Amino acid sequence: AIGVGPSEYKAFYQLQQQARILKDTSKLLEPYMRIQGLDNLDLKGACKERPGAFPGVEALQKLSKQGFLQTLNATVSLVLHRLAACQQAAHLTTESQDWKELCFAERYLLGIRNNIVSLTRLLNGSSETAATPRVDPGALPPPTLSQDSFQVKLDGCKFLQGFHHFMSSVAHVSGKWAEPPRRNRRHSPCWALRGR
Amino acid sequence: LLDPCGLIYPESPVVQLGSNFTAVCVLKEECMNDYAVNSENIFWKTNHATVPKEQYTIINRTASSVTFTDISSLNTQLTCNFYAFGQIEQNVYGITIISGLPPEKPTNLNCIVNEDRYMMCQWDPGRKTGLETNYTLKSEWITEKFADCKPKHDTPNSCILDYLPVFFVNIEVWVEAENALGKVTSDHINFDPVDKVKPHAPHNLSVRNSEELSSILKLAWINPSIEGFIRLKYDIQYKTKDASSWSQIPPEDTSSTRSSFTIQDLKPFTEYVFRMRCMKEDGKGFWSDWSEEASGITYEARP
Repeated sequence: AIGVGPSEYKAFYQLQQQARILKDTSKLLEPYMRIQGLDNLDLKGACKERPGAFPGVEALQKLSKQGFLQTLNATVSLVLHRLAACQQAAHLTTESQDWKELCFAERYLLGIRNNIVSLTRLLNGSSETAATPRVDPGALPPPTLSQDSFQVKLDGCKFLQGFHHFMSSVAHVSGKWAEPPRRNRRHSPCWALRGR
Repeated sequence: LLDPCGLIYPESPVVQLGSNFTAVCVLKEECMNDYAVNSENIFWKTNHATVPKEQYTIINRTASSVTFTDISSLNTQLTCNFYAFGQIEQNVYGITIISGLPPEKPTNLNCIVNEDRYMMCQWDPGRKTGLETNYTLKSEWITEKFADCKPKHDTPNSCILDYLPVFFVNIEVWVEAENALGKVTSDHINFDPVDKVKPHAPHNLSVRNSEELSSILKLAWINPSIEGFIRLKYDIQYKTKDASSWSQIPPEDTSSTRSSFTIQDLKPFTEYVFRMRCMKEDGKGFWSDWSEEASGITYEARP
């Protein structure tokens, strides 16, 4: 429509689709592991998500819409921060496929943040108050210089593992507020007969 | 070079077609003394034809003006002159009057995302202005303004944005048009680039017959990779080898993402040609190009 932003339903549908894209580990975790040299098999076992680092589906479902958006925003900001650090440290050429994957992920994370602002504006008209369990900073000790660089890489790996899992939770929860299910289209009586 | 005997104001005017225009010629004192002339002696010429004296106005001893109503011709040479010593035509100064129209509000702004490529937007600029008119395509998210897109010289009414589109984020796009006579902005359009996709055509289209059923052929294909972002629907057409017109599979039968389809009610032992295209399932966006054609022969009917 001319100059008019998406409806609330559409915006949550967009968020759902973005989360579906970013729950795929090939979009961020796998290129990260290749870049950091963590992609051989036995290491994958060590790159387990830190329990409690991210709110699960149940916790997200208890939130108000605004609480959900604030939690998502906090996480996206963390990931963007780590992504920037990784891009700087990695000295990749812009032609490398891994660099392109990271840029793709960055654009989609920025897209999520944009949609969060868009939705927050839409919701500000509503009276819903925000109850916000933020990402538990304790679960994510910021990388410090005293840690050896391998441990920092591994922490990043665990963090991203958790992030992708968190994205699938986000997809699930945002679907609840997404476009109302379309009316079932009337099928011609011979629909079942003609083609499979 | 010779110092001019005077000046014309304005020096490089851009005038709207159909409007009035007045120029003033101001003589220099030393020149007036050298040639014993004043503003009364000035006569004006446009493209080497003398302007009637009725259009002149003496402003003062050194200055005379000329007024044109309803400027119609696009580019006019205007000169200020006098006769030196009553005989020799002496040119004082000359300017070019450029005339044209302010830009009209661009309309029909629309964008397309060809799969794997940057988004391209195009618009209708409206009437010709006769002037150099610059168009700028603007785009922004709520949280971010993107770089202005300047059309290439050979495609003045379209622009390819130099960043890959991000699906599922609404973007606001509009066009600004500006020339010497004015600046105008198109309506803004606000959309999700995922609703403007023109997918690649389905590829590797293959046809297989069935020994058990001589009236069917089974198509199989590979969907474009955009399938990871959007659900697709298809337009499948077929004809017998020598036919000239295509038959179409009912759209409701191919209205969701798939990678094969069985066509029934075909004539046995007959060669059929197939082609197909796809687009976003909800009908937003654009049809892909047609796939490569593929053909197959139905099995012979059992005796």
